Amino acid sequence: MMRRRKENGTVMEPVLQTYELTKRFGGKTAVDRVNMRIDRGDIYGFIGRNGAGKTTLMRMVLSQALPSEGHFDLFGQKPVPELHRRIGSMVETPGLYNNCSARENLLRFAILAEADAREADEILDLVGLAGTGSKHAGHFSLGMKQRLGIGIALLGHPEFIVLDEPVNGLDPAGIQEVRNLILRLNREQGITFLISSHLLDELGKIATRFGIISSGRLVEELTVGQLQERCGGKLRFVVDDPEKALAVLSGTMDPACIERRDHAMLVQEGTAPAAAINRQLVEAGVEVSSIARESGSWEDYFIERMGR
Amino acid sequence: MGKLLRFEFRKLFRQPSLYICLAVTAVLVFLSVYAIYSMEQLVMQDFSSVGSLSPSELAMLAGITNASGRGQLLKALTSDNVTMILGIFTALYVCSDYTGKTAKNIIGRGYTRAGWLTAKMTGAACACLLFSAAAMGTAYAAGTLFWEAGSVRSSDILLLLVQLLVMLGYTATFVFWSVLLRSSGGAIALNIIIPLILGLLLLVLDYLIFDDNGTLSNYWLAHGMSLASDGAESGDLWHAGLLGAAYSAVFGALSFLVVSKRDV
Repeated sequence: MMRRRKENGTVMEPVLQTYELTKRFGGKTAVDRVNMRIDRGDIYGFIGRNGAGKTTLMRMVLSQALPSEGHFDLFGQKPVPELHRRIGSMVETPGLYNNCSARENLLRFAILAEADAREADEILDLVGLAGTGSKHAGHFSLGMKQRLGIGIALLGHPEFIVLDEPVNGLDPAGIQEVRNLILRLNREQGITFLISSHLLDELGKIATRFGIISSGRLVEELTVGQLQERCGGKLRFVVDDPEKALAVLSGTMDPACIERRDHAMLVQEGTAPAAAINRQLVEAGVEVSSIARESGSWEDYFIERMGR
Repeated sequence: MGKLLRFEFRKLFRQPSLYICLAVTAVLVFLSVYAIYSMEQLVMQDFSSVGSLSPSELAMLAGITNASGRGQLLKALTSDNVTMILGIFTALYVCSDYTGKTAKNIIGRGYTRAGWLTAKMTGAACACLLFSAAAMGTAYAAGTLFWEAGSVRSSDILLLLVQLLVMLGYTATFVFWSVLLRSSGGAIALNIIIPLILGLLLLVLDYLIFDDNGTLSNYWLAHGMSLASDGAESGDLWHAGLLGAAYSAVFGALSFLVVSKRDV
């Protein structure tokens, strides 16, 4: 088992580690030799286009799909059934008994999750379905079904929760509730999450680490800090003579850090202090009418990495 | 395993279709017995000149046998209706975890496919016993109501147990088609069609291949059920019992094979 250290020196325990995990359907490789690592306490945002292999990888980790090649460890050990009992999940559509109430659904799965009726009632309340009474899950809205699916995943106090598109079909208030719930469970109970979502902005608000998958291959894993570095901000100087400004700046800094956009010069933040660049331009006779900071877009970065 | 069984039994006994199908079974069996009784009444009218004969003697005369609660009890499970309703219910019960996508919740919680299928087959076997009990109980009650109770002999218990074994063989085939198709609609269709068609098909094959001297149809469950009838000899009971056990074992193993090799 490989242990990693956080920046503050704390040892990080892997909750999930995959080794060359591969899944083929006929001739098509859905997941291609993925080596992924999720540490205890992470909220791991799993990003990829439709059909990139996110769901298939999650299903393999949950033993719902059988790997074609490779293997994975759970909590630093071989994935025996007892370790899977420590995982809650909701992958693809929520698995529900449509002819039963929300409570009966929870009570049934409570047996498997070794939870009791009191815990089921608490979860019912937590996911906002306590007032649904005997209404059958089949008559629920998509958002209510999603919340019930999350409720089922929460049964039995899991240490690791796998959620595939958990905010699908939820209204903005519902999305916020789920986001707050995930953050609360992560902070208060230390639950580790693996979450996939198409809503990159939403995922960006909660994830502590990201994995980007494209055509079945994990192209990058990075922390929020690393992401911020890579999407680093830019200094924007609006000038009267961009040609001259470009020539002046290129003489003193790496041209790769400079970008011309109409009458604006964009300089990678950290290349030089804003005041020094301003002085350099003014001394060369270039009039600077405004200076501003432009932050890089995570979304653009993800889209670029996922492949257009 | 205990938790899986509790889970399956909770599902089984809270499934409205169980009670609907049990009620339909009871009604169909009652109507079948009533039909026999009505025929007997017609026969009695036509044979009024032989009024000195008892109703059961009249029935015997007209070819209507088993005119008692005991007689109806022994032939309750030979009806295609019971097999058909059992096939429908088994498909609904087994496929519910596929159609509702709940199978993935079970496997995702660390329960093995083999354990899950074992619990499901136990639930299906339990349902089979319930349907058989409903059919036999209704047939006995109706037979007693229309004629007389008749005395149940100790040898009848063995006969009923063999019939139950044959019913379990049917259940194993129904579970297999259900886990193979994973859709309740398709599984219901197969579970109704196969018992109806296969017997006929084997008879035709016997005729075509063996010039009507063949024995393929002797290896189908319906033949086993027909052997396990009132007055069956021990050889017939062995044949029927072995058929039930063999079908249970073979189709049970095939179900395990299908479930263990496929994603849920």
